[in-house]
Amino acid sequence: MDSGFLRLARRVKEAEEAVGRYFSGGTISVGNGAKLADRNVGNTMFLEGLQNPDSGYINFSRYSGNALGAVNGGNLTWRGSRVWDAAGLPYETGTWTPYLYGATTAGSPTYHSRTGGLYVRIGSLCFIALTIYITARGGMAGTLRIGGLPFAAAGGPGNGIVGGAVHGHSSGKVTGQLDGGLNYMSLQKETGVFTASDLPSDTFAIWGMSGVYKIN
Amino acid sequence: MEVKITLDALDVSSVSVRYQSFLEDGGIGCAVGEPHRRAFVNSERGRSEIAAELPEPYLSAVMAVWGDSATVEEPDVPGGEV
Repeated sequence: MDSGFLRLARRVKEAEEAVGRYFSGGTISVGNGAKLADRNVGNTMFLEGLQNPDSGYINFSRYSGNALGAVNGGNLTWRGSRVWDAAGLPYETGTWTPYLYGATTAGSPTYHSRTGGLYVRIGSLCFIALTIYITARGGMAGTLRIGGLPFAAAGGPGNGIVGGAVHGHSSGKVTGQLDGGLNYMSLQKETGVFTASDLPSDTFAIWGMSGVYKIN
Repeated sequence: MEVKITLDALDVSSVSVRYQSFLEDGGIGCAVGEPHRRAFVNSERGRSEIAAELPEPYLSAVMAVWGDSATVEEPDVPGGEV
């Protein structure tokens, strides 16, 4: 005959099994749309206490492999066929404001409202696109540069880009060279650097450019 | 509308300044639109530009890392030109 204490102990054990924290392989079953944490109440939800890093994962489907987990020493990794390695994080999109200046004399060119830029950062790579549109040179002199990049290029050779203009005014098309560790592109024409004196006489210039470079 | 400034990737050579607009609704801040960024490098020109653009206390935070002198040279000729 069970004593009251043993009955109580059995019920506690059954309750622990029901919430899946007593035996290995236990599960918590929740209905469709149920929340484990309310984002409007708590700031943080923890999944912790995992001693084997290869066992810590969240499965996003009924099939194995479509999971976000900690594997290979604890690195956060997508385990499915659509792999997004932890090295690919973080991801961010945004805007930046390109501006033109001369290496010898910066000057103050006049910009059309269509001047602007966007960026997409994926891990240590940054894609940029820009339209730069000036209506007056504003005293610029020397090699023209495009500044205002969202991130500085990583240091060292080979980290910069050569972005090509997809559209140019009568001044011709240009490319932009970004060297490692810097935050501006030097404009180049086919035969060398593109200077302020290479701008068309009507002082109107417009370029659309894009490129990718490595960041820290 | 509040604009929050974040100093990203700050080291002795450069920093990326992130501007994000926020609206507060019921005590919860909601990001509005996409962030805007601008990088500065620790060159003579970069130091003067960031001093003119970045407010305190962020400017002092950057200068505490950058020190008293420029560490990045902006060459007259692009590095890869032949």
